[in-house]
Amino acid sequence: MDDDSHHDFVESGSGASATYPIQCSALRKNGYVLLKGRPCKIVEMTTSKTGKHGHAKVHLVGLDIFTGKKLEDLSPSTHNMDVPNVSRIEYQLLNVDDGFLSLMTSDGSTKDDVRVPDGELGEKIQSDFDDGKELLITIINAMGEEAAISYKEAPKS
Amino acid sequence: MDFPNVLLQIEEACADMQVNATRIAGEQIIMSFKQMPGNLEACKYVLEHTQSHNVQFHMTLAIKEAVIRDYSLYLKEYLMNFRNWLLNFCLQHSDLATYVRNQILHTISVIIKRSLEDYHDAEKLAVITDLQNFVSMGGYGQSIGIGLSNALVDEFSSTKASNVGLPWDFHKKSKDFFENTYLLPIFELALRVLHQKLQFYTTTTTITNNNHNHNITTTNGVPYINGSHDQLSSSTSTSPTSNLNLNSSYSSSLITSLSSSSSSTSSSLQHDLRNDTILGLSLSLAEKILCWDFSYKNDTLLAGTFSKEGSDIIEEELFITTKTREFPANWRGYLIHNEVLRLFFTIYKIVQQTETMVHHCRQCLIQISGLHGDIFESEEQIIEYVIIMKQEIMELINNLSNNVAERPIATLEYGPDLLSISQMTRRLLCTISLPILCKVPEISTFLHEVAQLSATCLRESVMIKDNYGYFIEDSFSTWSLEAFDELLIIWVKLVQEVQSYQRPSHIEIPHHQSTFNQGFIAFLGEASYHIAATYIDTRLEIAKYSTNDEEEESNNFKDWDTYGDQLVSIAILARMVGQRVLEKLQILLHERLTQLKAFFDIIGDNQVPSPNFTTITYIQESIHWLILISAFLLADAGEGEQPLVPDSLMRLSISQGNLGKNHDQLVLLVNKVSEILNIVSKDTTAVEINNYLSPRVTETLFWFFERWGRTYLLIDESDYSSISINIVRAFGKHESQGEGENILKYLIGKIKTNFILWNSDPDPLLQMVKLLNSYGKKSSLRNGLLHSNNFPDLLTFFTVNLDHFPQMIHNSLIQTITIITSGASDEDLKHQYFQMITSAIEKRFLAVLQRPDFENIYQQPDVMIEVQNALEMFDGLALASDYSNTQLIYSFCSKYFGFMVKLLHYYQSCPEVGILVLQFFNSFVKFQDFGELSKDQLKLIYQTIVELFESYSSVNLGKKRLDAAEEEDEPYADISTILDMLSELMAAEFQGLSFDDLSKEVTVTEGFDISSVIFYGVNIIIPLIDINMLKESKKRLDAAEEEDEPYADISTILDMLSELMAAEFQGLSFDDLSKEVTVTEGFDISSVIFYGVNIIIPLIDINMLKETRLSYQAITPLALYAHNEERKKGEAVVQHLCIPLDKFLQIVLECFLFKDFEADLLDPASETLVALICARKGSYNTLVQNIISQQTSPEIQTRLHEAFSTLSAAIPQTLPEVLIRRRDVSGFREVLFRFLMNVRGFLRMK
Repeated sequence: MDDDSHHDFVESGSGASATYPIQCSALRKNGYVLLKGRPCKIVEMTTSKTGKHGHAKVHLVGLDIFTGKKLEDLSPSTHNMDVPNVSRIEYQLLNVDDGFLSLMTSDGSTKDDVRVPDGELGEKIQSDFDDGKELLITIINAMGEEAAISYKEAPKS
Repeated sequence: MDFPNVLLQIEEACADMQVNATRIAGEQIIMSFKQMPGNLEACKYVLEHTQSHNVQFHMTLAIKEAVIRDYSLYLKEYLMNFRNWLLNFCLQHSDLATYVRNQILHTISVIIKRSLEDYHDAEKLAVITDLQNFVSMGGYGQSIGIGLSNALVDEFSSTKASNVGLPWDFHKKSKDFFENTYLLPIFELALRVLHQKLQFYTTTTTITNNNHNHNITTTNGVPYINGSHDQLSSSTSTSPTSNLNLNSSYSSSLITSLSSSSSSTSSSLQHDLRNDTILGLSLSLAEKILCWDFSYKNDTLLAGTFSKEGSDIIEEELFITTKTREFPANWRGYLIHNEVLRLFFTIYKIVQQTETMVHHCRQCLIQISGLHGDIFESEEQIIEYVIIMKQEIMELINNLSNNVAERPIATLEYGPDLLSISQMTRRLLCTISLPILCKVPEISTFLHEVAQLSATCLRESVMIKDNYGYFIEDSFSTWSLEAFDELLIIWVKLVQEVQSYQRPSHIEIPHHQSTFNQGFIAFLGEASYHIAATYIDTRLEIAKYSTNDEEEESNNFKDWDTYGDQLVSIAILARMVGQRVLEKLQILLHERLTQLKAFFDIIGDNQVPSPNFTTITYIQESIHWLILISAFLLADAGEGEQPLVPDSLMRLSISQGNLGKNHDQLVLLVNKVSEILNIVSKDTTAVEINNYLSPRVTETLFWFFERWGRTYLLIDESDYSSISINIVRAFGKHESQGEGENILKYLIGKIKTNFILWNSDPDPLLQMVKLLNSYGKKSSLRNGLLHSNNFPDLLTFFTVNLDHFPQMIHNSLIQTITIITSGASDEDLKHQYFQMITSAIEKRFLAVLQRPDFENIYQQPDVMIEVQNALEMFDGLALASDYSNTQLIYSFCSKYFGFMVKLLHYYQSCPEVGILVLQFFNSFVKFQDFGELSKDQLKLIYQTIVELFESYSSVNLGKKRLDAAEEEDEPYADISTILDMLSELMAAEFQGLSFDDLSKEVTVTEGFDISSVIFYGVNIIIPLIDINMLKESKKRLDAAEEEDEPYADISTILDMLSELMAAEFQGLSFDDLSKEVTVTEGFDISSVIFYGVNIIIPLIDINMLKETRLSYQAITPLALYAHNEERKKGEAVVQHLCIPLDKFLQIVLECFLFKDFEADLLDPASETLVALICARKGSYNTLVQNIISQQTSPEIQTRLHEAFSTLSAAIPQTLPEVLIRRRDVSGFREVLFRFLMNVRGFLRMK
């Protein structure tokens, strides 16, 4: 098959590679990809051709996972694209302080560097927290950036 | 009323309406005047005294509305006088604006239609006499007569009738009366005027008389109509054509005069024509009458169904050109007459340059082509008719080609001319049966002309581009192509008809053998070859122009679908002359092959500069088309059945038996295609050349082998009474000394090469999977593949490299190879192959899952991709399940059930992985045959699904997300998958014969039954369906209604809802369920139903076939459930369902009685109705009483009461829990249909 084994890993702080190369045609809808240097969730993926006998090109539409901005790219289907290493981890919410979430990590220490998200989600977190609910917050991490993307009430046990 | 004052006010209000600031105030005054009862005299006064067109117009509208509204307040005589007054008003004011005059005539026709029931016979006849008198007046009076006739035909037609608030029966009766009494005399009037016009223009042009005014006589001396009409018209009794002393020399003298007359004469003639309103009106009248939708042949319509106008205009136009009319026998003397038929053709020649008229005239000609039915008395008459038509059409064709030769640039009317001539020809030749056509003298000359025309159309269909590569705007290529499609239908019909008479089974063969002499068949062969060959040449010509097409293409339509109908037709013609067409295709393919080889040689040779893309694109596009045509010629698509070698080709091959297989045309062509496949199947080392390869050509090649292979490869001799030895030797089985297995082996090799070459291009890959899938469905080909020694290698290649291929082919590829392997007739082989696939999946899956650090790395992209690929492979396996391999697939998949549930939990924050787990289980319960599984196996499935739901729910319940699901293409994909799975489980339960016993047994032994799984599932899923989701569905629905966008989304959601409802209400333990859900989550199940109802209600109303049907299907189980629960346990159980059910009952009943109703929906809707009635008998009776009491007329009340009594008597006492279509309620449906035919006639208003 293709000689695509030259993985040019970009090292990130945690030691794991920040991105992973993959042939454009093998990307998946609802998966992630780097568009114009930004980590994006692929919301649309279509193939087109230049002329009737042209080779396939992939048209990608992605939403920046941190800003929600729409980004697009058109790339030959054989080209390699970078897939960001995305992690989504659930933390228990300890406190909301000056626009930042105070979260408890798995080893018991606290993590205070994630902002309360803008908009409705942030407001809901604040009001549910104020109501004394115990909340679990999912933090997405990619390319060294972090953000809260969802939350739910901790199951009562 | 102070009339002068009214006049002032109205004039002022109308003036105000012209100014923006005062418009609303003005409108209000006019409105309140219109609504004033008894305002007719005031209208009359204003009309008589105003000078403003606008005021006249509004007064006419007011009159129309007043008559419709207050008809019963006026005496018949009064309205009759009023009508005559209006007519005279028109006559005396020749300066009326056209729109005012048309409105007055329209109003008169409304009055006539409305009063017709109350007229006595003489009064009815007087309507026609009036028209006749007007027409004989000539001049302005004549234009009023023809104008009124137009208005009457519109008003009495089914499409253009005004809304008068009367029942359908009224409209139907009026139309029938008009059709039987007025239509023919009016047609005769139109003919008389057209004849006069013809005479006039013939003389003007011959005498070159430039007097423009003499067709408009002065209006002085117009007789005043006084309302008494004792005298009956005599013209209906005299022969209609006695007045039409049409002389066929007109047409010839006219043509000569038209062409010889000086340019000044011809321009003055054009001027006359353009201003000749009477001619225009008469042509439009004739067109309307010729398009009349006769009821006498069309009584199957559901009563109360009004024809639509507006939205269906396009369809209607199509309908008008394709549907041929059957005129009643009494029209014979008026229509099937030399002079009448020729009249239209001659007028066509006169008005050819007059844009507005020529359109009407064309429509008339199209309508008189292809007459059939009762109007003909004898075969001789038909032949006479064809003779005239063919002469006239031939003349049109000749004029057209003269035109083509002379014109420097195409005239604007050329395209429409061409198309209408093709339509006339098609209607004529396709309506008349072949035996009769063959008796028409010199028909072959005509057919020869038509063949020439067909070829001309094809040649002209090539898009003409200017020097810059843009298509020339005014080129008539689309007209030509459309005309060609019309003509192609003729040839296909002729060829098929000849073939059907040639078949030995045809009883009448001795009689027709003489008719279809060899000469005719030979002629048809020549014509077929001419057209097929021109088609091939034209496609190659078009290919030239497609080469500089640099546009981005993303449409997924394939040429074999887009041009499918055309290609099928061409193949039918080509098979008439198989040998010659095969030879032509083979030569052309050989040429392209040589060019392609030469091209690649140049690329390979670094010394020579590379040729440009244009050359190669042309070669590729022509190869693509040659292969397409070859495939259609050689084999049929054979949807759902085994396509056989076409008879004519089999005979051809048999006749070439002595040449040996290597010289058989059928074999030679396939060899040529293989050679092309060879040359484009490059390995990845040929980098330079690969840039010039076309994925489309590869796709087309494998499409060819898919289609061709199903018919020819490993051909079964027992399917044929006689078979060609060449075909057997070339493509047949090894045991018949055939080469079939070698070809399969060859194709397997090529598939692998091309999978590597095109690993990133979904189109060719999908096509190759399709080929394997097609072959896998046919047992001989499937076993052929499995016994090929390179097939195992291909399978390994697929499973090892799956992640390199686009995601969209993953499931289908695994599904396909599983179907092929699990269908092996040899058990050992089957297990061997199956093992190969599963161990590959296992290896990949475990390689990741069993990594000790999985917990740390599971979110890394490479790990996640591996997991996703493995899950898709599992899904592929599940999709391939059927009764024969259920055990095999179950035994493998079930080992991993536990892993799957864990995966769902691991990836709780990664919905893109979770959905794949759900999808696997969904496919698993959908395709596994539960009847083949043991109790323990079933138990494991149910347990796993419960665990799956638990895990899913614990993760997702109450979760609030940042990315709104609404932004995604498929919102709530996970929930709809779960709903789908639940309804699959329900279906499995109801289908399995032994399932009831089974589930009971399981319950007894383990305290675990399927209904508790469903109960559990629904319990989990309902809280997850938040109100937002339902609101979102509603929102989408509203948006769709506004924007008129496709309803795809909604039908998915609706499907889901109906599944939800079905799952709920068929569920055995629903009552427990609803209690529990209400208690646990504070979430009232009836609120789900409430939202569901709100979504469904508008859908019933919109009459979108699919959505409305789904809605009915969603309601029926709900009603049946309520009905049966009540029967078993008493009313209290279903209390909460009463309100929605009553609402549904009311809506469904109202749709039946008062709304437009799609006849196709009668079945599902009647089931829903009967179920609702049974569930809510009390409400039904109240509703019926209400509907009856709402009727104002006591007569209608009585009729309705009686009708409902009959209907109610047919309602069954009880209904089963599930209705079996067309059986359980068929009696009720028949009674309902008669009920509707009866009551809709008088309830439906327009």
